[in-house]
Amino acid sequence: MTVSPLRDAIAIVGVGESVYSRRSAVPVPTLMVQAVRDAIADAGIDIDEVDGIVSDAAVAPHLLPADELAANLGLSDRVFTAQMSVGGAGSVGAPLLAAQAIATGAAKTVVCYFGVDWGSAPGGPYRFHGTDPYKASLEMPFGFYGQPVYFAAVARRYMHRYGLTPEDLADVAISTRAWAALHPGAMKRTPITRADHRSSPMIADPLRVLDCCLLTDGAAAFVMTSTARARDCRHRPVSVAGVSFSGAAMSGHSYLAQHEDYLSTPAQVTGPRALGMAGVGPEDVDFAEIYDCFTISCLLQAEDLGFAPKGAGATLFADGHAAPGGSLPINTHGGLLSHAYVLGINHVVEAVAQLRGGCGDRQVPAAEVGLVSGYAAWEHASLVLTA
Amino acid sequence: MSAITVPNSGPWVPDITWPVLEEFWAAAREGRLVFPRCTACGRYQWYPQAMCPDCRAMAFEWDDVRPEGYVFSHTTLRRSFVPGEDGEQARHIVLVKFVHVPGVTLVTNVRGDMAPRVDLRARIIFDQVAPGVWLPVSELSED
Repeated sequence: MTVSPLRDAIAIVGVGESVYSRRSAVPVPTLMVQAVRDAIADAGIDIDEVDGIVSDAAVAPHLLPADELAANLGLSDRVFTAQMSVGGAGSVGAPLLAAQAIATGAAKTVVCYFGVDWGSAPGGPYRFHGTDPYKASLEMPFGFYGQPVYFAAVARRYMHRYGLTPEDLADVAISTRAWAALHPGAMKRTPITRADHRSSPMIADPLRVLDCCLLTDGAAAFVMTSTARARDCRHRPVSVAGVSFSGAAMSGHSYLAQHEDYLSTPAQVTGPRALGMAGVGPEDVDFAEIYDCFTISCLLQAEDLGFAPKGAGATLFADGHAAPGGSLPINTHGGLLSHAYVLGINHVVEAVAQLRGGCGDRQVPAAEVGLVSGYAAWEHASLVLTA
Repeated sequence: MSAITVPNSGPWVPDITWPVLEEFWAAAREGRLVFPRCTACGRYQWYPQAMCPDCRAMAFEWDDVRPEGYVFSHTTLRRSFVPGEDGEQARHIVLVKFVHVPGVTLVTNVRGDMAPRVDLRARIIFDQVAPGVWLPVSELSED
């Protein structure tokens, strides 16, 4: 098999994160600028070295367009700007854009940024769905509106097909919260039990509050540069060994209703492709950060990435493999469920932290290969990072 | 499952003058269920779009289908996120597929208070929710 010219072409050399809260006293665009500044400082490079900016195409540019970010930073000759996908698939797939730019010489140092105000903005994560006339005509009149409702239908179908129980879903939330308890920056750190899950309010049957991700105001960023330049940066570089993006052919006006079987994600394409690019398999992965907008979506991707057979993802959580001390740690920062809902850029930041080492109580021993999975319904990105 | 205490359809009323779905709503007023079908290869495309993703032709006709489907999945909403609707509620939502109309899923509520289950039969009928506006609703049965 030919080796991709993008394999290990770039490294992530700096990360920055804001404080995560339900309602930020500081405007989120300001948090975004701060996160970028912090990421560049973390890399130990001069701001003027940054000549490229990437982000998701929907959420971050809406709050702070790339040109406004560049104006804040005082970048005089920004040679590269690109956006892709929505939220998770964009932030996790962003190294694919940066690697192409840097490997071809189009740019030297590229920053990926993200921010979201869905913790405090009226309508939160649901509002942008309401602007679609198909949705307004064919889904909203029936109350089929809002991500918890779509994923409830997914979970119900999965239950029917594979015999999933509410306890299986609870175990995902419990394992993820156990990790968050070890992360000082996580929004929810109090450990939870199956009883807590059982008594948490039902949102859309079978999904309860504890099956749903948090709502967050926050921002994060990371800096990418060539592997050669990375050697002179402040921290041990984290190499982009593999990265893959895929969009599935599904009615672009439907967030999930028109999905063929409700049981799979494009991670089944991007996972093997990113791992193949890195020259490793699922068995080589030391930890995974998986887009857990809901407990059920984490299970679907864990299966599609090859960590468990279809229908058996729950065993990763029921048997403690994914929990602290387990054989395949999943969402070591607490994920979107318990760390922060910044749509997966925190998953990239956490993977970098784990591969640098020094994560204290939550450090995965001998972490050398991390897989990040970024989901946006019909689009998905997988990212393989190595120490 | 406690009895459903709110109307089958919520207060969000679609704009039936939007040209893309005008024929769907016109048929609904007459109690007919129609979906767009590619005139070249016969594929059903839902939701409507410009090109048939199978044969890449760009012409569709609205086709009358038998309103007999089955519950592919479902949820019961405890809290609505739809703007203007009260948060707390209990409303069954079913995602209906049709054996004879491959590739189509229709989102509806449920007539009466029968609790949905996967694979229950769903007969699509229409309820008037506003002047001239008739919404599809599923009547569930065991067989």
